[in-house]
Amino acid sequence: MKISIRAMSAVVIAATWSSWGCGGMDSAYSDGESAGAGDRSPGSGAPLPEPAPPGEEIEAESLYEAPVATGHSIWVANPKSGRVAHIDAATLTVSTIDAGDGPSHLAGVPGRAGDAVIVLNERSQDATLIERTEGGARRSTYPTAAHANSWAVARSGRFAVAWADARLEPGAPETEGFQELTVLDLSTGSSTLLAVGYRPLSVGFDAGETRAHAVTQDGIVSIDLTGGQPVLLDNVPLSDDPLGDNPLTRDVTVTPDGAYALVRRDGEAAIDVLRLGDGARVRVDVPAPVSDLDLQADGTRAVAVLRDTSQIAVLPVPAIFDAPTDFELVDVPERTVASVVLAPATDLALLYTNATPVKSLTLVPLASPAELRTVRLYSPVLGVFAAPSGRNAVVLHSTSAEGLAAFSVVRLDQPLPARIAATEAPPFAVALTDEHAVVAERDDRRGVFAAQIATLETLAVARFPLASPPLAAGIVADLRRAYVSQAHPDGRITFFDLDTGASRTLTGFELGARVVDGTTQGETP
Amino acid sequence: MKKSAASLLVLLIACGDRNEFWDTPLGSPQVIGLEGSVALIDAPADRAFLLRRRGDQLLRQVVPVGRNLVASAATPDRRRVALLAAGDAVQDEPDDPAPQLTLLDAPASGDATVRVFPLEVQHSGVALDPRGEFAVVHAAPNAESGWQLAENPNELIFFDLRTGAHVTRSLRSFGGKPKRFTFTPPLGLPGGARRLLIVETEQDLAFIDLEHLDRPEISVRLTSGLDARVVRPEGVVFDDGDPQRDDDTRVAVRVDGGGDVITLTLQPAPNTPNGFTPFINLASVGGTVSDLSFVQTDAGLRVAALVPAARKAVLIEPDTSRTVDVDLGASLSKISLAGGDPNATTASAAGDVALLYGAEGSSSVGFWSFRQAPERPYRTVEILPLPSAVGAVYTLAGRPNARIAVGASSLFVLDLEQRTASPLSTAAGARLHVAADGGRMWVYQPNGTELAAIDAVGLGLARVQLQRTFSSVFDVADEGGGRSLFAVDANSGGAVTVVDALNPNPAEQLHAAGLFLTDAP
Repeated sequence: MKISIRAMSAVVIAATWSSWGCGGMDSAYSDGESAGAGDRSPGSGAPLPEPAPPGEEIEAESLYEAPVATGHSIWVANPKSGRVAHIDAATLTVSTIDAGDGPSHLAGVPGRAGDAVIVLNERSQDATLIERTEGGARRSTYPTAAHANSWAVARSGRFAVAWADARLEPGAPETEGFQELTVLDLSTGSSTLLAVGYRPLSVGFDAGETRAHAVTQDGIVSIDLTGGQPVLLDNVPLSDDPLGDNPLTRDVTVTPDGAYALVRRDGEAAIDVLRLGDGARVRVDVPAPVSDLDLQADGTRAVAVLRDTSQIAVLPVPAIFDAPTDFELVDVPERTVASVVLAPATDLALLYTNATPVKSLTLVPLASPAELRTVRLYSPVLGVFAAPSGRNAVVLHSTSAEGLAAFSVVRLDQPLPARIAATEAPPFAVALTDEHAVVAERDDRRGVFAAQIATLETLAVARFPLASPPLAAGIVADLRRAYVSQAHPDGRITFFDLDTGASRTLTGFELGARVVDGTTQGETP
Repeated sequence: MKKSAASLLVLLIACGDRNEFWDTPLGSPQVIGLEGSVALIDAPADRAFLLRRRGDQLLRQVVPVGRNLVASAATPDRRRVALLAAGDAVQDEPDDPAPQLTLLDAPASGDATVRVFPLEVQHSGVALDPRGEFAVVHAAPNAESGWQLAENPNELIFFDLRTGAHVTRSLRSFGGKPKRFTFTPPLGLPGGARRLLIVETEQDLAFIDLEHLDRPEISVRLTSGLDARVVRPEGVVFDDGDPQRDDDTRVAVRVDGGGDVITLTLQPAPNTPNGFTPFINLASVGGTVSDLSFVQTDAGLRVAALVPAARKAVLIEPDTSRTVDVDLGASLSKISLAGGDPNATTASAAGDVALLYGAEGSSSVGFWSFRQAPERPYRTVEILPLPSAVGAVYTLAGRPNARIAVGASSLFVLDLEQRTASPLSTAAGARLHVAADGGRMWVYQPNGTELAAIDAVGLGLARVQLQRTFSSVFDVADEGGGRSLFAVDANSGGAVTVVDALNPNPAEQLHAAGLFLTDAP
């Protein structure tokens, strides 16, 4: 159970960052694509994908899941109490709202009258939509398929898909396909169970929300959302040889409009481009195996990294489908690069590697690749996160054998030296806005827990020790507050004033919600 | 002497119609030492004798206190006493003594003023504000008599002793009953400084605005409701924080049923009746906490929690719940802060040394310099082994860095600044009375005739032989200056021997006896 909390959270981060175009990790978790828009607010971040060592335990087993932020609201589910705690980040007041039996996985729902979340209730096999309005909390319940543990929520907030990510159930037998997903139409209150391919890896929507798609080990299944009830369309296989194609060694990225999918396979010097409308597939051959692939947020350009030749291939999308040889190759001379993060709102490709201890980050302006710039770093790179504006990035460094760790703040828009900040424990979670970054540190064995807050404009960094292991970090930008939720049996979250550095910890969500001050009962029945 | 009373009873039994006073056993009358007098409660006669000295005269004031006295409380300055009477158990005649609260204001000189507040129903407990501004009548069943016939345990009657007004209200209850009351001084709260009453029930806390008794209380439920575990509050401490701020008043609660300390920050809540709401934090300290105190360290305000079973103190940062363990090297259960203003509402006004003492089986005290402990938790405690376990610690007025520690057969004058412990041997069973002016201590054995006067500064010792036995002593101010020692034998029909406390001269003793037998109804 304790390990599963971390493992669960680990996948969430990949979803979080790719949803908001904030970069990603060069790790096995980059396999999945976006879990959909609206599942988190900008600036929120869950734990980093660092698997727990075997047998490692969280010091204080938390009854609470990692939080989700919507607007000024922070939501945390408590599977034991059957409630969802709501924390107003402005007033820091807490209330609890009854959900179903075993509420666990939360997702923010945009487009509602007030702050809203939807939570999966594992034991009652349903989901509760909770909307906070001035009049209180409004709830509605939707049946869901068994084993659901993940959400994809459409940008409009009309549709949500509850699905089962097998990677969160590592002990599941092979005969468990996790193939059922549930499409919720939150505007009509309907819930539709559908069976897709074996063990879905990601679920998303097209830009117009006329279709949803599920990337599974059997291919990409499209779901028509235009009728009264969601309907399964065809399954587009990813390969002509389904038995020879290992789903665990490939990435599938679907364009935001849902029209195309790009498939990268480990060790293959090619990228497959699929047109999901008719299942047509085109192979784009490149000079060397593709070590990483990233798609620009607007879906118009993909960048493939060719580690062996120190090159990147810039593929125009969707034009590459009709002209598979018509792409640009950019040399990155004398640099070892294997991974790419496309900085949002810019044309910058951030290149690095964590396969070897390389202490640099290479910035390639895709419009003028000759003007590439290499930023010297002072520790090997583990991962890179770009701010929403693309003007800054946070680079996490690998933890050394001696246990030393660090992160760097890099100005992408100015040729300034990187600012490295040592950590006393391995970085565990990152949250990033255009102005600030929060990096949570966590070492359960030594009991070292902290949050470091970086001001990106000045590159100033301040460290704040925490009382318990961090679970996730986030920033409520307009309130100028950061938060770090922590593992604690009664629920714990620490808020930081980004201007003064003053911190305040709230522990005991159920107790906090049970304060009766003569106006409200605190709990919403 | 009880035998004498019995003889008197036999003698008078044939006298026909008489007051039931004469049929009531003398029992164990209560004696209360006040600033300038001693009050002997003659419960069977529904009265109290207030005795004070003026020159060679022993003055007496008789005060009616109501029938069936069930509780009393006095302010720390010993100038105000509240006496709660339950009245007759059955009220079937209009003249039957009714329940009442009697308030005695006993100045350093002159007669006490008496105020009587009739009560509609019987109650069994009274809590008196240390500042003497409020009294709360409540239910407090004692082990012997239990509850009154029927009591609402959550009904509280508030008396504003400044105006005489009273308000009756029932606390919102989630199953608990009040068990302890803490009156705060004025605290800097949102909406203006005001005083609070913190009520600890068996499982909750309640905050009541004493300046606005019409406002609903704030209830803080300490149990999560997730299981049957009951978390009981076992004591609260508070700190007003920065005098310029109204959002940093903090309360810390130690609880039974878990190794947590709960801290509450009273933060602004503009749209609520009280204008503030508690912001809750839990800090795990790894064991049952025996005592708490707010302390001001170089790193800021901390809650110091003693965990005797782990032989440690834990410093808790109230805003973050971060903790730092301080190894004490001994099992110590009580904390007493040295120095500073004893009436201060914030830890920053206190000193930077604490005396740690008193755990079962422990014969050590600790001097703890906590200022640097958050950053440097080692070598901040000096343990001083003593020959016997310390059962109680007294303060000395005017000497904030001194404490009197009482052991089984010795007492120690502890200097927290110099970290010294000056021992004085005492006979087994001896009792200690510390003069309110801090100048001297009296050691005596109940029902004996001898006292030892100990100068609190130089520890000079003088023996005083009285002519009559006594059960307790009180060092009180004389009218017009000076101090007297009242040696009271309350069991002998009310007898008192008085000597000069500053220069006790056995040849100059004043006596009064048979007080309870005089002016009988």
